[in-house]
Amino acid sequence: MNEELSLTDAERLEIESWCHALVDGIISAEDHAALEQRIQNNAAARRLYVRCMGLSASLQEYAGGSLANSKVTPMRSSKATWLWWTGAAAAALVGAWLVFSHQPGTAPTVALEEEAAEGIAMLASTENCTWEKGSPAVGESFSAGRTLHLLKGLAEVAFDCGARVMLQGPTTVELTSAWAATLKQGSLHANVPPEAIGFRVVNPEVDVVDLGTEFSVVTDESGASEVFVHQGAVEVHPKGRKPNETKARKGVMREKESRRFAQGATSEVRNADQKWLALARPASMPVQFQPSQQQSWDWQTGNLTDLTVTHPEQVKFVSAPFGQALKFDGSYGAQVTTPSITKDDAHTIGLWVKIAPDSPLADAPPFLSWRSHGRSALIEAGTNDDPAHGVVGALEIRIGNRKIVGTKSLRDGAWHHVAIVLVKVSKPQGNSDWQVRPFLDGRQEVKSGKGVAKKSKSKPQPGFWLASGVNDEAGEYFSGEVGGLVLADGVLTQPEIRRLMNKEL
Amino acid sequence: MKRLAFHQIKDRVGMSHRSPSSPVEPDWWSAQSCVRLVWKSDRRGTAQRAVRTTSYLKQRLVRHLEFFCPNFPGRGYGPSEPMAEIKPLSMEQQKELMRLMTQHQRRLFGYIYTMLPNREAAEDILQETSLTICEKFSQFTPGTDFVAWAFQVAYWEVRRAKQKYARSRLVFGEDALAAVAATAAEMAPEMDVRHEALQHCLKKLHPRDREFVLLRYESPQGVEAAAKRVGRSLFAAYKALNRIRKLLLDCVSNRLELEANS
Repeated sequence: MNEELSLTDAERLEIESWCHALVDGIISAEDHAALEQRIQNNAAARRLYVRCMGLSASLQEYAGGSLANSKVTPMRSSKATWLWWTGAAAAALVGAWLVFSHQPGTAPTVALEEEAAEGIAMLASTENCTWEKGSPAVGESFSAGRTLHLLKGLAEVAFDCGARVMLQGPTTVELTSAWAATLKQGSLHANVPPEAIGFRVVNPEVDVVDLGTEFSVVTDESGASEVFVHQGAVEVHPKGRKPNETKARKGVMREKESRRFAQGATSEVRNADQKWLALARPASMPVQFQPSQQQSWDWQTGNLTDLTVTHPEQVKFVSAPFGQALKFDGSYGAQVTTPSITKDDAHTIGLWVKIAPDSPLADAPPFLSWRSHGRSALIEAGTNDDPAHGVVGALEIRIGNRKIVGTKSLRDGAWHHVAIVLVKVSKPQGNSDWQVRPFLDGRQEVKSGKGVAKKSKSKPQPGFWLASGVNDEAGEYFSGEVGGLVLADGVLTQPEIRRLMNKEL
Repeated sequence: MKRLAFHQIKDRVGMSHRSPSSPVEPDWWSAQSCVRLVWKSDRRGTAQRAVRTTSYLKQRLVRHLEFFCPNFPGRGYGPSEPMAEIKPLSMEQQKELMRLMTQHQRRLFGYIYTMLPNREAAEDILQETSLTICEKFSQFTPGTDFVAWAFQVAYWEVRRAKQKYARSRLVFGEDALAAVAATAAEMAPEMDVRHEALQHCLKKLHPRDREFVLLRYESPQGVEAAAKRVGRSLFAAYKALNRIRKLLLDCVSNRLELEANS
């Protein structure tokens, strides 16, 4: 049992806010006294205080350089400063010969570990595509650092942040992160919804930062780039020939503007009218990917198709915006029998869930659980009851013995759409891994981790369970309302999940 | 008691000598190098903090020059603190000291920062702690727990400086400080793991949030400067920072949990 459980959620939040105020130098005398009293008398509060302070101490160190890239090379990081001063102080006493190995400006680089196995984008659709190497399938997920060489045709990549990027062959693009792509050569068209503002397209001549828009970037062999803004605005950071030039020359391009960036200079686009015409295509292709199989259940009173209920006499229905939902009151659970869940393919499960603010929290059973065939991993979706792991009441997904906790509480008495995608992720080494990707209300739940379903030799169980663990193992049931269940073979993208969610409403 | 000005020290130890001309005592060479080092840092240090630290180093240097160099012309002008406990370190001890200090300085900073959560103040204490550790390193028993020993030194340095920060609401009273110090020492291994996990969590932040939070911790002016740089109101900046720090705290905890279960 985690010691911090002895703190209530409110206490925890209060202590955290005092700690932040203390670090920022704005804590009031009363709050300072209250914090002092709390940490002096309560071990759990003290441990939380040490963690908060440790976070700020670590941030001081990381703040020395930019973490925007995978490697940090600070010129004068705090770390460098400490090394320097500590080195200087020590050397002042023990001799000067060691000092010069700690000169400022030669600070050690802080290498950030690549999380290559995590998917950051997926191939959403293709049209007459020829690829230089291999042939990624629609629905395939890509990890950070993956480079796509499209020789011809059109391919659309959906980034996890929500941005959709259409590539027109021949194009070479590196998928840098869920928020950035590096266009090495070719033509790229980005369609960026408001939630993905900040999405960035980088190339040797210019960085284009989206401000909520639709834009194209065309880069030729020499690296010269032309930027066309179809809607909204983008911020452009031309890369000058001098290191500090970028910041000084950044600017904003607005709708229907185009600029050419080459050899550190900015100019008008030649034959702009023709190029605008050539780029006038749909911002994104129609959603081409259709799950090969999709099942949905809309249980009405008296109609329990595919549903086996543990205590049929307890079943209750309630009206919901999408139709009818099952009302679980902690006295029963149900098993949904479907053969497709047992396939060894990627799949997506979507459902609506409503949990009252006062529903049982501690050790609450999951509202959905299933075993995945092949890996036979137990996957459970419920709510987090441990403040040490994140927001209490937030979506919690357990995969085997790992868990992912979301950022927003579901215990607010409102309907929330939960979608869980089992994703196949290609690794740069050529093999692949499986991960679970949760979505809440149509947006990917951040970011607190992804789990890997481990292989197991145990026999897979068909179907999945509502309001209880698999096979009703614990004999305890979830309290809340569940409905609008959809199971799709394959990986659904964010827009597809949104469509699914809105269609039901 | 007369304290020497820096230029006087420089003159007296003969800064014009670029290299040790024989016959020169090794300690004398060390002393010259020390002064040259401080002199260089003085020239370089334009920031107030650097100057302050350098001037502190200068004061301490007088003491150590006196000790290392029996013929140091400034002898007799230094502070009256007893110097008897300071013993010159062997080359092996010097190497070991540097290794240990380099290896554990971040941990030491984190420990000090937990008791004194202000970057400049914590760095000052780190300096003092480093110097005290250097002075007393001959008392350290090799093979025993260096970190625990260094934490003890740091704890006493913080207590010594408590008065200075008493009005700034940075340091707690003695009982709370002792409790925090004990807990921070006990949690040091966990804090190392959390520090590593934070790298990953920073990568997962939205780029705007990441840039903002790093900006806040990079700048000595803190939140105000960061808010100005990104064009946010101070209120919005504090609100955003608290949200980001909350996300990071949760993310780090989750990551540790995942690692523990894997």
